[in-house]
Amino acid sequence: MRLIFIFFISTLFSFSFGQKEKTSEAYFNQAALEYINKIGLENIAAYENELLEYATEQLGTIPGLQIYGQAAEKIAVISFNVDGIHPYDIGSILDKLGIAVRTGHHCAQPIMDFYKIPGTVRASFAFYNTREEIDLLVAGVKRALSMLQ
Amino acid sequence: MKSIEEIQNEIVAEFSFFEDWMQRYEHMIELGKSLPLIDPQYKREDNIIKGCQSKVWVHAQLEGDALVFSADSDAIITKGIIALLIRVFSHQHPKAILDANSDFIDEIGLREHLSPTRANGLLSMIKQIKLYAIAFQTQLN
Repeated sequence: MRLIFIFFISTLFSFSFGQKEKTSEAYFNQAALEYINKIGLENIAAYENELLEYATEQLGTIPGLQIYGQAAEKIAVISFNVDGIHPYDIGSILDKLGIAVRTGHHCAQPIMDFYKIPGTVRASFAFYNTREEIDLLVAGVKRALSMLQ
Repeated sequence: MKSIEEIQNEIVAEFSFFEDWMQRYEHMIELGKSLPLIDPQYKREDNIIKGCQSKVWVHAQLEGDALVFSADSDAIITKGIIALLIRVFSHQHPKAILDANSDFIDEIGLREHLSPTRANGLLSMIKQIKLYAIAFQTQLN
């Protein structure tokens, strides 16, 4: 259990997805755990949930936007598409606006096939994000749609 | 008929008018929207370009001794990119396509402003256009 937890934290906090050298990873894990403990896991979960709720509500005001996955206990990620627009197109414009999202099938091709979609745009929120940044995301999506529709 | 080089120079001049990359993206989106529709019969699996994350279909056929391309994509920015390539390479002799460079892509800064996956897709599209040129050049010989 502890191993799984450490793996989770190390994945969450590796600011890149690349492979890391093992020794530095061990130090990094320690620093990451200290950082997390200082803030408190419960505080983090509560704050991220608040961001998720706010983002879900705000993105939900955009006509034609569909959110995939609405489980009650889901973590702070929102996968979405907008009717008739390819997720890469939205992602490319958001990127130019300095907003980092992930686009594509997220290595979950079976569920993309299930929904019959080529992929989704996915925004993830962590405790260092703010409500203002969610406002920027929503404004960015609206701007992208004004160019693409 | 303009040469490939002349068309490339035109595109470089056109892109230099835009002040930032949002405007260039807007231009590419417009190009994508104005790309003539591909005949639906050519939107088949074997015309899909491998290496693009969005779907791109490219079809080529000879008209006289010129190679004519038509294409489509399910993503509009990708469609804009292929529209640019078609403008450069369509209605040209296969030999001219084979001899041509694609420096304009770097000159307008397109490659560096695409995500790595899209930049790879762009290279795959050029490769496919050149492969068609090789195939049809052989027919003409």
